[in-house]
Amino acid sequence: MTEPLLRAKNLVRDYPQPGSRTKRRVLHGIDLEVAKGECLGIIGESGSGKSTLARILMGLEAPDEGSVTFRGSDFFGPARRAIRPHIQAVFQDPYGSLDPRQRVGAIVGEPLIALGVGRAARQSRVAAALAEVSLPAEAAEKYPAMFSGGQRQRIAIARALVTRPALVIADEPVSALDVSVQAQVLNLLVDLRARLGLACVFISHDLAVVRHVAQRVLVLQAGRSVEQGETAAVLRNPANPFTRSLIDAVPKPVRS
Amino acid sequence: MNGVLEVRDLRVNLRQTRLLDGIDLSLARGEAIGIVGESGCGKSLFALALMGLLPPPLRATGSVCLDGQNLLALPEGAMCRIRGKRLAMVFQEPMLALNPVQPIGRQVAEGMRLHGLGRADAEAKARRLLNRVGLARVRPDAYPHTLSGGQRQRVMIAIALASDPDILIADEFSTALDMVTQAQIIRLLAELSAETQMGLLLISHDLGLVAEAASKTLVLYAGRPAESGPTRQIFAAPRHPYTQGLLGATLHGTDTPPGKVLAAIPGQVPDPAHRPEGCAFAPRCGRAAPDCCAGVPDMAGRNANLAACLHPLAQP
Repeated sequence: MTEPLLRAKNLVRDYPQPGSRTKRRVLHGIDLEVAKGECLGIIGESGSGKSTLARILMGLEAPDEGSVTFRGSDFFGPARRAIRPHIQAVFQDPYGSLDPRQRVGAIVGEPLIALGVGRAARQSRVAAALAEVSLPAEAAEKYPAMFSGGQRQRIAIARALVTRPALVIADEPVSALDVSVQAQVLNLLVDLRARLGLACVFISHDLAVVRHVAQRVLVLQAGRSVEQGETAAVLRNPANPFTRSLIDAVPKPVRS
Repeated sequence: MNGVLEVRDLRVNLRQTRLLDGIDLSLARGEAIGIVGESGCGKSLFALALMGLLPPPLRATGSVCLDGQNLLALPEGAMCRIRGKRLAMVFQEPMLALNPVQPIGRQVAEGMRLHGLGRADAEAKARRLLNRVGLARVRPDAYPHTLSGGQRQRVMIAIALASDPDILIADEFSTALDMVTQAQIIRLLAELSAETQMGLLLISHDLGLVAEAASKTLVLYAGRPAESGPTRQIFAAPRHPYTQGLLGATLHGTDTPPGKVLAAIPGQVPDPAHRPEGCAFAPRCGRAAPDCCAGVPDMAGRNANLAACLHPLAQP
């Protein structure tokens, strides 16, 4: 078998509890793999550890035990600076995750400054990233407040794409959006995977959304991975009662 | 059966701008009506207008009648005796709506005390209400921060139920909750409504949730009614292109093929101050014709299904 793009092994994360010497374990040994160009959905209730897992995969916090490797090299080791540009993040709230006082061009170009890309090259790559998410080049001159929620989330995705990553970690990227806008962003994510071969870890509490974008799914319950597999197979025949309860919770506008 | 709440030609004005324009609604006892639309269509404003909680200088005209009494004509003192007692509301964000430094039992009892119940009775009833909303294992002296989002939303519902309201307005009660909790809460609301014959107004942008619990639906667009009727009927065969657009953008559980391109509605909801002439949806509408810009279409149709569209979709 070829080496997957991202591999996490036995991830354990403990959080200290205020007023207590014991720690609370929020992740109990999670294993996962993401292949090149694949979208892995992570689904679970609030409090199941989804966001903690996302933060570890984004490199924002280190696990207490276990390891994450990207193309075989350790995520939290000496290679981390070289790995970073290949993994980017998209967050839930497009209102809170963009600096209101910076122009869109500066926001989208900022990751490139960290990589030492010169001004002229930055401008052309920002324009390319904006085009990728179907925003006009003039958008670079405007401020986030001048855009709608869906456009802002596309700006956040453009910022993630500008380093030409192999993998995007998206933590509830559409939960804060209206249905019409959610549809735009989902279409974009599906399209980017098809066109750029972008791999994705897509975290959501909404099974309908995960089912739409992810080929494989991991079901988290109380910090444990209770089921993992091809999305279609898991949904058709869930092995775990918790997965079944998630499937039953999906509302449908029209009952067949 | 008489409608317990009758809204006729409700308008909300901000000086010259009509934020809400000509909303009609009739809610019977034990009935649940869903209010849907994108952000900025006036859903929350509608709820605030019904509750008499519009911040000045906003003003509501038209009529909102509760058992024949027009609430818009009531002085604030009289409205205070109705609000929270006969007309209750569950707000969007349970984290912000609960007082962080008061135990939940006290917060549930507070309204009953204000409306004249003794302390011991109020506390006993608060305990019963917490049991009823599924918090039997939570102590009344627990503080909100020790509860999960779903539990907090249940506390909010217990507070709203405390005065046995005739009508409960739930404004985007589910947005902050995960799917499983959402499903539980919507089931709880439907049960309570059947049990106490309380009328429910479910405000949501999630069509699936509305379909789950509301027998009728009102679709709002840019502060105006777009379509209304029995939920099943208008979701199965919408007549207004906007309703069709919302349905096209929604994932239909396991019925949507994975990865299918969803029909997003192009453009965005216009600001009420810059509503286009005629039908406000026309610039985003695939069926728009020149006459759509001539005048605001009235709600029209056969049976219970009304749509404000000159060129409605054909019904099967």
